[in-house]
Amino acid sequence: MASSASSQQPTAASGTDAPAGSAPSIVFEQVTKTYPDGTTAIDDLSLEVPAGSLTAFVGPSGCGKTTSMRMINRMVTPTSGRILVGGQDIAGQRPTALRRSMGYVLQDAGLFPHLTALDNVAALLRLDGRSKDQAREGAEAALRLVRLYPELDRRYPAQLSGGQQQRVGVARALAADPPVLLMDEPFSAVDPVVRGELQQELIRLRGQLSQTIVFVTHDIDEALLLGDRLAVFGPGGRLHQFATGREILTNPADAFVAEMVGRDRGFRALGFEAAEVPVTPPLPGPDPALVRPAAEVAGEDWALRLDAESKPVRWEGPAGSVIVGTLCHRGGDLRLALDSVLSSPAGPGIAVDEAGAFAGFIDRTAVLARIDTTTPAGGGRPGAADTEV
Amino acid sequence: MIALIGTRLAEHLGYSALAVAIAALIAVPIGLFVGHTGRGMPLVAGANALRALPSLGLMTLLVLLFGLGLMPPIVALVILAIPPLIAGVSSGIRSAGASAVDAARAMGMTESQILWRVEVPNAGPLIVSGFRGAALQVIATATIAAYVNLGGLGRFVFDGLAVYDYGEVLLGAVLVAGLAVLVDGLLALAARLLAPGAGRARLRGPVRASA
Amino acid sequence: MRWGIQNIDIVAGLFAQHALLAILPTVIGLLLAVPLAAVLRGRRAARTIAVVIAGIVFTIPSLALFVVIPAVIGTAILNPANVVIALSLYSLALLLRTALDALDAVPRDVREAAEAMGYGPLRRTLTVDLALAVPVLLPGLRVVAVTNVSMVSVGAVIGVGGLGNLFTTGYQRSYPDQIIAGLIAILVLALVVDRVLALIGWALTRWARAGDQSAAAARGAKAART
Repeated sequence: MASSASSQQPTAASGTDAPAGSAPSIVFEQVTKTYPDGTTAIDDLSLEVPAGSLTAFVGPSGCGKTTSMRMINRMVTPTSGRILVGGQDIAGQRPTALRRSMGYVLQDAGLFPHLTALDNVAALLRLDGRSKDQAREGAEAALRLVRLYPELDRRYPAQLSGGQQQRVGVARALAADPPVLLMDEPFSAVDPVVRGELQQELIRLRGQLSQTIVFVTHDIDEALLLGDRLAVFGPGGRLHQFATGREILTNPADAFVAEMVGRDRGFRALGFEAAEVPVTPPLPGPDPALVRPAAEVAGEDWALRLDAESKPVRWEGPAGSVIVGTLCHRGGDLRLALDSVLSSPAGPGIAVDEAGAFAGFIDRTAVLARIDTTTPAGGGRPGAADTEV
Repeated sequence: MIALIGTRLAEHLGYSALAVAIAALIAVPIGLFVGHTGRGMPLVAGANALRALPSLGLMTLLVLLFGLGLMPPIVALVILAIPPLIAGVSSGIRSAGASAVDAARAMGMTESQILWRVEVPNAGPLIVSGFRGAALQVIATATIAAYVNLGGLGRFVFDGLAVYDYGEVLLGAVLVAGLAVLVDGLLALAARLLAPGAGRARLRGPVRASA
Repeated sequence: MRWGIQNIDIVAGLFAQHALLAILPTVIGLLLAVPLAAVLRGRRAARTIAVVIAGIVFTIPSLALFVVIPAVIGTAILNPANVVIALSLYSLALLLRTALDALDAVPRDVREAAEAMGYGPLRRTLTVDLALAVPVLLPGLRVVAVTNVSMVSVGAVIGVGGLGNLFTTGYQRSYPDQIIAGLIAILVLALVVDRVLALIGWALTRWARAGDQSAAAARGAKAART
């Protein structure tokens, strides 16, 4: 996964922030939450969610991540400490007004059972005083944004699948274009395939929108995939580490974070490195749909078969054919390049362009050499060669 | 004879409707409050205990204390109708689901907006079923009103008993049964029609997070 | 109330009669409803028909039943059997629906496990389904029992009403004290019946409460993992 450079801005100083309408920063100042029976839900939390970023609050159940997020829109009040949104203390604002300025996505969508998908989204817009027609127009736009099939607009929540309900929930949160978006484990109630689709949708949406997003999840991989920064919470509501995904993988703050990240830390950290490996063109040959890697790259006599659109289909070798493994696209990360190489029966990995068409072979040793240049503390070299992936 | 039946029927329906209406005035606000805020459950439990109160005893006592008239039977019937109405309204309010209510609150709706725009629209079927239960109890028990000198279909029963005319008694019984079944059926139909979305379309409850 | 204390023996006698007239139909209804529900559970069509009939039966006011049943089966109106039969039918109708819901509430994987272990259908129903159905069945049973207690008093208008007779005689003699005694006695009976059933249910469902502790422990263990 390539981390886009633009979202790793230096943290904005707290205080008066960007003007209203653009994404604000969110600051927790020594926030604590204890309950009457003595349990501490959040223990002296101080952190700053940078404006326009997606910050993942991640941790096991009961560690305060959801409670922290729900303090941002005052669904929960801190016992002590304060929270600033856009530089303003939220305690001074009316809760209903504050909440209308924030989008909120729940784990099971929380759609109103008695309204169609369209009207569910429109309901939020009508709170702002829009007319029924205006609200429905806005709702429709939001639903297209999350790519819900238009024919589902008039369906009731009970007639929609889990993934579809979640899309409607996200559309509702985005409909009024709020500067802040709060998401509470929005993808954990759907099956893994749908979850992957929804995650990719969110990544795609971020390219078009500029909210400050707080995303709660118990899934560290989801947090690593989506978050510009991760806040790792532990039992008792303690914040263990607040850093980029790469930082957490390569330099976990303590044993708890290391355990949370789990196995394959080193391997997964490769996902934060740009591939930057040279791509070698195939040997010239008679058939453009059957390409051969250079002799010194491949071991045996393998050739790659392409389809009519030049997309790789299968490797054809002396003993039989094997369907292609991982394809490394332009802008792919080092982990992708490594897997492309490892999943290739012939030796070299396969590079493809944006359209998925064949773009060249990736040398195994080049990938391994590239890995050697990445240091445990992160960093990696700025790209140099021009025929690079 | 038909005219008499008609009169008695009208009286019976009249008492029943009046009792249910008065009970609704009391029970519906309580039900809305308990359903929305979740507080006051002991009150609901207490109301349920009222179901055990024998209407015949209550009616006769009230007549002895306050004299014959409309009040004693109506009071007894109202007391009978209140528990099912509270139960129906409060469970109807809760049927929107904790998740939808949480979402509404997070969207910035005020408490009263949540009540009227989210909870009440979903409450229809259960509220109607509360009325169904109340109507059933009341229509059945309104028969006893005749014992304390009121009209209604119970008149046939008691007048018949007095002169050992079991044919008349049977007539009364059958009429009451028929009326009860009819009203119950009509209300069931109303519940079906009121269900939002394609027939009882309701969200499942909160889903457990995986792992 | 003074009357009640002075005539405690009369009240006690009526109390016993009333208790019998209320508890007997409840038990009969239960004993008929549960096996019927077990049998009907799988058969879609028969079940729907039965539920509809039950629905009609319990819509019929019990006073009407008290009067119609003698006509149908030829007993004299003053026979206490009328009240028992009518209330039994009423209880059966109510409990059938409850029993069906209760048996449905038994988790399917538990039933399949029992079947896979080699339990025959009868044994499974008796030992597994019934035990697990108690939590849903019991509240319904309590409502039926208490309702029956109240209903028996209505029988007083045809002369068979247990404590309800205190209402009719009290009314005829313009003696409110008697009526009050009857009311109090009935409420006491209803309370006792309700509490006893609740206790029985509590005793039979210790497994449901034990689950709360181990479920909480399991959640805690899960939270400690990644």
